[in-house]
Amino acid sequence: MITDYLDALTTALSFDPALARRVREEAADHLQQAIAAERSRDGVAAARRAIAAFGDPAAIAAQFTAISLARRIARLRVALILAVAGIFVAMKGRVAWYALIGSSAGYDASPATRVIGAIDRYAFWSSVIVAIGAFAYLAIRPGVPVVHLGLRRQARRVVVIGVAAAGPLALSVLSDGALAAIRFSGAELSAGSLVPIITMAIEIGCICILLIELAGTWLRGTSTGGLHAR
Amino acid sequence: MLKGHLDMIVLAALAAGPAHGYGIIQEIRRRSRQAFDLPEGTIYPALHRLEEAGLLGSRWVTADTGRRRRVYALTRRGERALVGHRAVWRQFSDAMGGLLAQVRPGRRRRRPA
Repeated sequence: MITDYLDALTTALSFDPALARRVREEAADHLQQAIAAERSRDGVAAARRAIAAFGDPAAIAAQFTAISLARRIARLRVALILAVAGIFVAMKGRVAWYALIGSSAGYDASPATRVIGAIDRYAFWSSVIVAIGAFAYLAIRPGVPVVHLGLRRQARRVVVIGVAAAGPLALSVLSDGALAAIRFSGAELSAGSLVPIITMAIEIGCICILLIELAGTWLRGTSTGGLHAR
Repeated sequence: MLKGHLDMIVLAALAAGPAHGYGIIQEIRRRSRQAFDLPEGTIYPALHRLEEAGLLGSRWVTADTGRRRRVYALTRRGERALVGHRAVWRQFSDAMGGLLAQVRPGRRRRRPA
């Protein structure tokens, strides 16, 4: 009976697996203590009373939605900083490497690379501006973990702002990739090529993490919506 | 009414020292003389929320039964929040006491003609 109840609680909290595991363990310990405290000979009746006193799994899960969503928004905020900072450092590192080995960054070689270089710069700085805007918004309206529908609306807004920042950032990474491809097309790969390849991998990794976090926040917002509607 | 003050109730229950969810429920019942009988599961969202807000800290310990148990404790910020809650509550209680002291039971004002 206790296992069935814990399974129902875990299922109700399935929108956040880490939270579900922790709450299940806490609830299991709680119920065990409640049954032990009764000192009843009828274990089944004691278990039934302990479960009734603990409450409806769906109602408990609904109270956790805002907390889970607030955590997710906080994670997205960190991912946005790390992605922008990581891409910036990787870009600057690559340009510094080109300067060190006495080579241009590649975008002054032809009109096409000049255009891609300009797209790269403007896309990156516009994503920085949007990210600063996102931070200003979150500073004014922090994700206070209180159960209310406003937090879900806020999550949607944060995701929209995050997509607005991630879009130009992804364009900047694509431009960097195109510039690196133009630069290395036809050239033989050497140990010196490792720095541009590694910095490109960092940029791609950063943008992928940001996109995964955005998708995760969006999904958390939609999956917790059903529980609130109950 | 109880729901609106749940955070303050939990913080007050933990003022005596660190405790786990079941222990906190028992402490609330004991100190309120059984007046506050919460659905026990509702304590956990409150504990997680207060921890997220930095008012509580928590850690796993192993109970005598061998089962893992999450123990919660007030942080410095939580202690300060509790002091603040207490001051606001006293102010509210005094104001309400003064207001209700004027009310005499069983007497109604006559309607104006």
